[in-house]
Amino acid sequence: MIDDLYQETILEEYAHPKNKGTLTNADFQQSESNSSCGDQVTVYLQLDPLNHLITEVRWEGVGCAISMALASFLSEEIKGKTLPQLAAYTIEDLKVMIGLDQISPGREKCLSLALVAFQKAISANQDQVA
Amino acid sequence: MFSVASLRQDFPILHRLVHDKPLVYLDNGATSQKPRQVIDVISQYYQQHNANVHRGVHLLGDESTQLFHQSRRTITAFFGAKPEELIVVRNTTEALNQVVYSWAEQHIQEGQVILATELEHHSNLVPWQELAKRKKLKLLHVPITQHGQLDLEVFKRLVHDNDISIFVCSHVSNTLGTKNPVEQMAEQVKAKHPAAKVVIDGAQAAPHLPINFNDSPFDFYAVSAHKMLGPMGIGGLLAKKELLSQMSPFLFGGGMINEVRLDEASFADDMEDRFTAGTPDVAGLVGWAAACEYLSRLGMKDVAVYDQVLVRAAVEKLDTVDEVEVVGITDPAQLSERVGAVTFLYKGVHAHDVGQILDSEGVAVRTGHHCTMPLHRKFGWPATVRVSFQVYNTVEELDVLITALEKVKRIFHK
Repeated sequence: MIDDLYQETILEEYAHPKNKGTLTNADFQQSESNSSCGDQVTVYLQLDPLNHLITEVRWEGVGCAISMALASFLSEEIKGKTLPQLAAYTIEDLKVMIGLDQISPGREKCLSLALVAFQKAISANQDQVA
Repeated sequence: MFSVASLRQDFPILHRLVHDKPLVYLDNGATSQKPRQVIDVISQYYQQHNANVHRGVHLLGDESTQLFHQSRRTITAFFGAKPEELIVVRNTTEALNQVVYSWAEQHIQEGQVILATELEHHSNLVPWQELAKRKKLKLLHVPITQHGQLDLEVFKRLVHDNDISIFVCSHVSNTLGTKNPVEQMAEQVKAKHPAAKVVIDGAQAAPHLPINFNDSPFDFYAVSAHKMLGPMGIGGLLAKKELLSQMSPFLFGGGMINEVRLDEASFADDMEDRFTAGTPDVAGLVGWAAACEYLSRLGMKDVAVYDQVLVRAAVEKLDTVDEVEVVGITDPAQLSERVGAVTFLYKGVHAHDVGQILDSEGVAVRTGHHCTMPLHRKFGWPATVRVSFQVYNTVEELDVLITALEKVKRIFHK
């Protein structure tokens, strides 16, 4: 299982993360932390004013390889998606995304940290979604 | 000195495999494993004596009540306290909250000062923050030095310049293992402020050090059974006898009353009953007493000596790993002030990942902020890895830890 978790793709993504940084004129911004381990992530989203698709995604944070790699994967994955599409992602989708069959309960929060942040960002700003 | 090889036979869990490897359990600061002597006595209680205490006139009720009182005496004797000086609670957190609600709530007035430290576990910080908010108190913190020791010069100044009503401090830091000079600090506080009360979080000291509550300048001392080979869900607040009569119960209900009418009640004169509302965890208390007996048989002085062997070996061995930076006290001349735990950072790899890889080699450690977020924030550590010890750990197990750390390097530093 350890080899699945620390597979090459995750370590590579962790070492060379995509879309890391901030957006000064973000439509949505949200920080989220994992209180049990201190991992922390802040996400930024920008929408196309016409078609409301997600056009720009940035994130920054401190955390383990899993939480940081997932933030990077997700930041690519959700570009071009609608807000309802983002809201519909589940932890199962994340597992599929990185080809992982199972993860220990202790690491589920690492896996989902960035997703929770992205989803909270849009649900905390429902008026903007509408 | 006890034989570690033979006492390891008392701990069934040490013989199981983890990911097909022998378990190397180095997360004792979170909770210790339990010897057969504790497990058996709990099982025996439920198989032979189970009945509610202080109620039925039947034989089982008498046996259970007797076991309850006998266990209280064993536990208080272990800590050098009088039998009535133990308030039975679930854990250290509840014990510290008990001080807040049963003592401080009545005796502390607006504007008074609570002195705490920067290395407190959240359980000895948040209850005081909340009290300070409710009663408009000032909450001050003794800072820590670069090596995780309390800055005693600043402490002196804080004690001199402020009207301290309560001094709260951990005996041993759960994160860094720093043994704070709590006796000396308590005496200094009381010399300047005779009415001040001293509250000590003993959760990480009780498993490793001999404690003599009656000889100490402490007013309250909080402990958990589960960190000292006892069961989870039981712990105690030791409170000096003269303070008990000044304390009010904060949990009300059965077992703690004297007389109840429809519109009012009076509370038990017996202090043991007064603070024990509802059915107590008798099996837990019996198990805790068995843990105290187990540690007494080993001898707490020897337990402390052996802990030093492990602490020194861990610091020395971890120092040989280039990527590892041990935090807290590392100077060999000062290491006698480090108890139960050695904490480190691994260069370029998050503590969580280190912990997960160690687990794959059977090595259980704690990773994260260890419920000391302010301490981690102060030093800019996102998270740390803590190895923490008990009497059954061996120097050979530390070699397994070091070998397992090589795997971290293999995975992350290809």
